[in-house]
Amino acid sequence: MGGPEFAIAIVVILVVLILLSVPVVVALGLCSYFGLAWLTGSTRVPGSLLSNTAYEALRDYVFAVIPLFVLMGELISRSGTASDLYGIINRGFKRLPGRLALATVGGNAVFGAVTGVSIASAAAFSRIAYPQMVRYAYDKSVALGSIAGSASLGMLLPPSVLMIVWGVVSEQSIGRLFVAGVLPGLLLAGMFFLFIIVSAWWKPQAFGAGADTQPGAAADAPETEAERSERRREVRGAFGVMVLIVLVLGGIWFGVFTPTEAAGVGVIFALALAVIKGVSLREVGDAVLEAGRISAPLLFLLITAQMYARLLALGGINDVIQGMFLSISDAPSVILMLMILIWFVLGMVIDSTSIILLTVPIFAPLAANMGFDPIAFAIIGIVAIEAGLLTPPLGLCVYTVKGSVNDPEATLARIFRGAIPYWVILLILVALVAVFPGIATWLPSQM
Amino acid sequence: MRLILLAERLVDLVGRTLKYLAAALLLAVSLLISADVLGRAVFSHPIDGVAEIVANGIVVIAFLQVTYAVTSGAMLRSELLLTRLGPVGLRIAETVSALLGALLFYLIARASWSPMIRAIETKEFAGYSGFQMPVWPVRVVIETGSILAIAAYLLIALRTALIGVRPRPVDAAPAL
Amino acid sequence: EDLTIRMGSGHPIGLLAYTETAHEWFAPELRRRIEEETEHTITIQEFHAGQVAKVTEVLEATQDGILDIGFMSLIFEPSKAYLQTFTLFLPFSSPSAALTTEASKATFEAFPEMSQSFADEHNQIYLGGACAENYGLGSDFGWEQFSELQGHRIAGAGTNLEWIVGATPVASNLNEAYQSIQSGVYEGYISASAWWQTFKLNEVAPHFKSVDFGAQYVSAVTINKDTWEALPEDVQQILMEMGEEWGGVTAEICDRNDAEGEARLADLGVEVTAISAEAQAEWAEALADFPQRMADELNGRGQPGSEVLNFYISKLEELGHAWPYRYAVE
Ligand code: NA
Ligand code: NA
Repeated sequence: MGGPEFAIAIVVILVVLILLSVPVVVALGLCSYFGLAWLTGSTRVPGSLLSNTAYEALRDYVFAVIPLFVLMGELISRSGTASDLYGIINRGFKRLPGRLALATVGGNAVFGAVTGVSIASAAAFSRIAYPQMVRYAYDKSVALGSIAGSASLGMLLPPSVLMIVWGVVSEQSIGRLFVAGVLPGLLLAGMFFLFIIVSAWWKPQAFGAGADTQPGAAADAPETEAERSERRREVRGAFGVMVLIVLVLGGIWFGVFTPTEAAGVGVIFALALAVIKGVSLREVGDAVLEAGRISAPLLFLLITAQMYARLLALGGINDVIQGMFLSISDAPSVILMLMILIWFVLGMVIDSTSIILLTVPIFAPLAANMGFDPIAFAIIGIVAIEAGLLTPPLGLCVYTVKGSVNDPEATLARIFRGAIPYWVILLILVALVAVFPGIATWLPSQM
Repeated sequence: MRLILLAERLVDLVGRTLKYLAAALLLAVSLLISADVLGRAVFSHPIDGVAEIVANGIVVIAFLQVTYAVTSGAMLRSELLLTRLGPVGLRIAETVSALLGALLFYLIARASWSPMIRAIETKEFAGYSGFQMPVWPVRVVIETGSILAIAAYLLIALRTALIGVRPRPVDAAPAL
Repeated sequence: EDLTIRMGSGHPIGLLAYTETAHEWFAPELRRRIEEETEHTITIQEFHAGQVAKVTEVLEATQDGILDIGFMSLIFEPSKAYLQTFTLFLPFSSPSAALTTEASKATFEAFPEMSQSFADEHNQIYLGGACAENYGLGSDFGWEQFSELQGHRIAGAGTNLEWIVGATPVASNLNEAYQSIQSGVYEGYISASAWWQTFKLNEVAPHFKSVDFGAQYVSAVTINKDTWEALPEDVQQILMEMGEEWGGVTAEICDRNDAEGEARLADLGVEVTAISAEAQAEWAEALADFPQRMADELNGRGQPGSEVLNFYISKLEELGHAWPYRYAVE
């Protein structure tokens, strides 16, 4: 039988294995197997957990967005259009400190808003934005942190897979949840922007202050014909990538396709863009191979995270959590803080959907009994879970960025460090919504 | 020693071949989705079973890539300890990690065997009456991928223990 | 003896009648009966909403013992329990879950191979079956005549996609329905009135037509065979009785959900209307070949497809149901 000791033991063992540099997939899978073997005294039951989950975990249309959006990002990146766009932003907003990081956060919000899966947009944006920020001499930790950190924005901006799962599990209006996420999402984007501008002003060298000396950004000398034609080419590229984004977003907006389908269509658009920009067939082939190389480990991460979530469920984590609430306090604020803590901690080790499935059936009725507004509560939960995806030892978003950039200097430690301000800001948003639930509830109340 | 290096090259070759297959499949998936969208929006005639095909395709893509992910060191891990170890410690850590990886895929392969046989014997299908899709290809890919992953991990363990840590393959610039 | 049982399903508890009765009735009642009628005590752990097995995995999870008792929707097991979803092959059966449950139970008794296959092929004992709610059609457009559906895109899941004739069928699932209808990917969904509200589809599609495709006997409760054999005989007895009673308990909830679902949708401003007898007959007639096609397929697999369908058609008739179109299966 499970119990508090068992729950603590399997979490501690997992963390130790990960710290010992065992591949995360292997650590999650083996913990699930041996944990369940210990729990049931059989080898057949845990074996079946492995085989069922390996077969079923990814068999969902929605997971196609991961390799597809990575491929789209890869094609955009290779076509040079992303570089055009960043070049124009860099020159066009010369007075704005940290403009490329701002563009990354903004772009990631748009992208994440479309995909509704934060690790898909983290992976795609790693391909698009990271090389550009490095090109303009951004500090690597700053660049990586802005990509991992801003991926969470997409979960608050509709559509959002997490909100759908939350709405169904807790019997909330999905439409109202979607609307409820808008203000907190904008607020979050605002806080990210503010943070970037302030820190770029504070430490300009970390935000590519020397970028003016970069190619294509020459100072005030009169332009030569070659430069002018280079500029025109750049504008065309940037225009191409903007058209692609508008087509993909507009297609969803006007009902031509769903977000998952947008991923497939986006790939074809990006492919066309790459061909128009003169990318060779061989390079297109490389892009497809690279997208596969990046997504396979991410897909395995999802499979084994689900195995582990199932072990946590079978190991009685529900009872442990419930027992904790009963024994600690009955003050609503303490219980809310405990819930946020649990979400945050679970976010460090498993994926967001599994966390919702595990905790929301327990938390939501409890919160309703204590008089919390269910809509504000959902927003608090989603933000806290997303914050956990950025923290060690196993922040899925951070591992995603790590797996998606080809730079030995982009170490996990660097990404985790760069992401710290972003999860701190996420937790500030949690506190804000907890104290002023109106941030989440006002807009839906106008419906 | 020579045998290990030879086997290593063989597994690399298989891993790469499967990687190409997965890449082709990924492109096919996006074409299929686009065709479905086009069919529905323009001709009011969606393609049957696209969601089912794509869902199964993603599982296949993942398991076709597993060998390459293992051999190229793409399986994500924390480097906290690795960067602090001396050469001997590193070899031990790498060997143990690889053995654990082989163990995991052995457990998956062992448990997935009988569902695969069952899927073949009973002609198991997924989908619904109007669109039936056989389950066995997915099951066979899971089994094959897992067995290849065992081989890849065992080779890494053997090589690391007997010869030394393999220099990281040049996948920084995607090798073809 | 102190027993421990893991039971679960792939759907959230409040969503469908069969998971609601699994949690509200089956688990507490099992505990009560075991503690009152036997010497044993029992600890029941529940895992719903796919916490350990998604809807497509419950049968297999019960087969392997991840779950001891599985509550499953056989819609998601087309390969392993195809014949057992025979009611889906006969649309426009009775809207009454009570009536459907009675006729379906009789069919399972007349063809014992349908429950026996769980033991022979899937290492689990079939304890009983239950209905799901009566299907209707929710949409973001209003319609009266069957011919008006022409040119519209209507979604369904699994076998009920086959019911969509005239309109363009789109395969989907209820989780995707909200966004898809909102953005216009499709305009309607074959659904029970209660789910229309659970998935908040009233917000995007304010029309619900009680088409009365009929309540469908597609849920089952089974127990892992090894678990079963290790149980004391008096507990086995209780489980048998409860499996038998579960269908009736669930039927009550289904009928209640249908009535309340429509009332609540109306309260929410949804235009809830009944289908005209004429439109229903036209739709049913457009599906005249469908049961035969299903029967042929089942017969081809060596299963008594024609016999089962004919038995059920007559049984429902016997119990007072008037088929809008009397299917003939050879
Ligand atoms: Na979103
Ligand atoms: Na299944």
